Amino acid sequence: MSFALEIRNLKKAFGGLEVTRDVSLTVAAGARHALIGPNGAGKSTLVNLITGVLKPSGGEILLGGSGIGNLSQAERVKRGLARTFQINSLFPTMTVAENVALAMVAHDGADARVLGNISRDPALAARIEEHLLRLNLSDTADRPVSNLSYGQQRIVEVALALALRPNVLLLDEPAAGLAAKDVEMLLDLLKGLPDTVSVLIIEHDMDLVFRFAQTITVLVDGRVLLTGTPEEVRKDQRVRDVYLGRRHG
Amino acid sequence: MRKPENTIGTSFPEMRSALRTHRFGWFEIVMLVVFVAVYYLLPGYLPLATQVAIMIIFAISLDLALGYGGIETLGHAVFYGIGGYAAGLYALHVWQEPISGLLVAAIAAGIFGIVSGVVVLRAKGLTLVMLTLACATMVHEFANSMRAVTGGDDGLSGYRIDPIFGLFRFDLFGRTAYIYSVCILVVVFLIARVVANSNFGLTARGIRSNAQRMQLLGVPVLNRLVLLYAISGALAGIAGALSAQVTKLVGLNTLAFTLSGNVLIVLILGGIGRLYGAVIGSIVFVVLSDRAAAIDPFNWLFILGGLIVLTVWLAPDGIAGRFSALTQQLLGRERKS
Amino acid sequence: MPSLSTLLSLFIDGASYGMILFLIASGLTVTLGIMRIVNLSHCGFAMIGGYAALALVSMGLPLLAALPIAVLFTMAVGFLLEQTIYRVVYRTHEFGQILMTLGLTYLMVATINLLFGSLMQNILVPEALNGVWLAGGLTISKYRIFLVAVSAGVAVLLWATFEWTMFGARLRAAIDNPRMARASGIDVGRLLSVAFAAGCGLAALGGVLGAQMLPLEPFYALKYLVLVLMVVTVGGLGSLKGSLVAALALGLIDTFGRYFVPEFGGFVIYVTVFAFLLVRPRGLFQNA
Repeated sequence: MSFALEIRNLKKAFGGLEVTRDVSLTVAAGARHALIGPNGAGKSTLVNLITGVLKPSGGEILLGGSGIGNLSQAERVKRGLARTFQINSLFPTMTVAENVALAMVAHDGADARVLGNISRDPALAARIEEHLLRLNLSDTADRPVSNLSYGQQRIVEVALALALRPNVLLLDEPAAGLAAKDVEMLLDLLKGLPDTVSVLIIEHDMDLVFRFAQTITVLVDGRVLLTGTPEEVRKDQRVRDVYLGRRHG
Repeated sequence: MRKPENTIGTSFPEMRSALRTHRFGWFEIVMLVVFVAVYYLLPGYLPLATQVAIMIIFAISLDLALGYGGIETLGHAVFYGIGGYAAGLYALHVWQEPISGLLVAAIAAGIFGIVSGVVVLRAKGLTLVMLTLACATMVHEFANSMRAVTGGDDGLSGYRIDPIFGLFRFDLFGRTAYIYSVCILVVVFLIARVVANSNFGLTARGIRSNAQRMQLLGVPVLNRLVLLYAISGALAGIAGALSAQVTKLVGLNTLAFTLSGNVLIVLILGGIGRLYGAVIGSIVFVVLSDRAAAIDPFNWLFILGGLIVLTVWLAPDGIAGRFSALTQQLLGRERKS
Repeated sequence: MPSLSTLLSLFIDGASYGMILFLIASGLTVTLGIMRIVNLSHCGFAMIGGYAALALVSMGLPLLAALPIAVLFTMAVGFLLEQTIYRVVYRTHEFGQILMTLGLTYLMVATINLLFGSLMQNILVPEALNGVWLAGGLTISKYRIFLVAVSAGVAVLLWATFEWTMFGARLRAAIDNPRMARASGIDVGRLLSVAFAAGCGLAALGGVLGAQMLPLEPFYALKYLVLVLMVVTVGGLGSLKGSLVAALALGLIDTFGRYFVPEFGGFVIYVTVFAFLLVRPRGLFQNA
């Protein structure tokens, strides 16, 4: 039984600066796994390494048991890996429906189809509608993303990744900048994810982390400090020291 | 298609407006009327009108690459020229049938689009602009050097074009040429429309909007850009071929920077990203340049330069953009969302 | 196998051609590096410099006196334009900058044509620099040597300014990280204005000195744009060192290419540039 995502001895250095030092991590199938750590711990770098934006200086990355180190970003996505960005990376001048359509069409492998009118595809329209409904974005379908509130845009960010029907979902600080009620909505959304999706979430919002995650890895200075259940992490003295008594990031 | 129970949201027709595609409307009807009217009411201006039609085709091809895919090119004339020389050489050495000439030109230009695209489209920004410029300059040099084949500075001429479908002879008044060009324009417009409204059109727009994100949706961006560039190139090649066929002459000016600059100006004037811009911009540009060039060819550059600067500054979406903004204001939006 | 004399001649020709390209391109490299402004009218300033010198020489001034005046004149024109039209250019996105500066170039071309006519013109080289040196069986063009010497001198001056002066240090900071530079109190806007004017001056210098190789005509501003852009991108955007190496390389490759492959000699640089950028898309050096 292989892990949904496995990282073995991953290293990344920028010149002399070591950002990721010998990180090993496993995300089990269907896991709800959180990655926490103080600023500068190298969490975003790790996500960039997994998705292929950065090339590692050493170590391996395995998706569903097979190495993906040589694959391009697009190829990794095709293998079932999806991510969201800490700072929204959407298609701002395009409507919400178009944003979702892009992801769905890409997932279908039909993005290069030159024949056929995209607005006359009832199956696609229904899928988009259903997707938006589940994410409470129904009445924003024909609005350009740039017209949406920040909270709604963060949800669209997640919507894009989910539309790819990923096996492994990497969420990079999805709650960043969200108001409390939007965080609640996000949490509901995450809790509603099917077991077929394994989730690795990076977050500073400790409340969200402890309410959602079943496994937590703590990253400090590019190294894994500890991996354990929420209880184990909460009680660990070293973790407390690192956070100096702060409970919310 | 089952509907979820508590649906407060959209239904299929509204999804159609959320996925914005190009729809036939009054613009197309007006254009058709205008084209027919010109034929009957302004018979002396048919050669000029033919030039307009050819420029529209060329501008549509650029709009696909630039407006939809975000490919910033200062060398689009390379496709026009390749298409022109291909059609001319085909008529000179192989067969004088016009329609097949257009196809040969489209294929030649399209292949060049693939070959150059694979190299050029890896770059972005200024490097991409430079590469497209270098590519066009290089082909221009090549055509100049191959004097024996292309006629060099004198250009390629002396070929005949057979009557279209064996029936419609090219006459001295330019009537056949005009109808021929307008018909090809309609075909090209339909092709461009099909591409724009397809999944591929959406993908192209996505790449223009955020290429990095497209990678992370699993789209092989370079491949898609090359395909778009090839299609755009093929259509530009058709424009060049048409010009070669109706004027019976292909010169080095079809590969010159001036032409690449002109078609860009057409789109800036008209507006990029909506196929209408190509139509509006071409009419304005060709008519203006004809009038101005008749008065004083060099000082025309003053007007051109001034036009570019003013348009980019004050109306970055072009005339079509201004117009659609105005229309939206006047008609209001159907649904407040 | 060509003679040593020929090879040396070719080398000097290529090197001087490359140095002229460097002079013209250097200003563009700096403005690109600091503000990431794409200025397609840069060659226009070389042209303005060349024509200004032409006008002065035809009024009776010797070339070496006309040269500094022409350079200063071009710098003034550049400064004026930067304070007015370029303010608008700064505010648009990249492609808008490309288009606007293209429009500006058209205006320059039209103006020059209005004032000087459309025929190619040459600036007469002073007697002292005319002709060749004969040394041990080798024939060397005096003017070309002069060009190499002067441009090398200017290049050294540029390098010294960059590396050793406060101005140079601030410039480097602004190229590396404009926001950081601003935050540490450097007036990036004023720096850019000064650098822009200096760049126009350098371009003018190249335009005047290089008039033999790049003859003056109204379309000068557009004709040689490709070459300058190639130098800048192959060298690496914002890298003066890169521009120097790229310019020399392209100058030599072009000259030798045209000699050894007369039929298609013009292609050699284009093919080289395409091949190079395939392998190293960012250019030789980045922001060095």
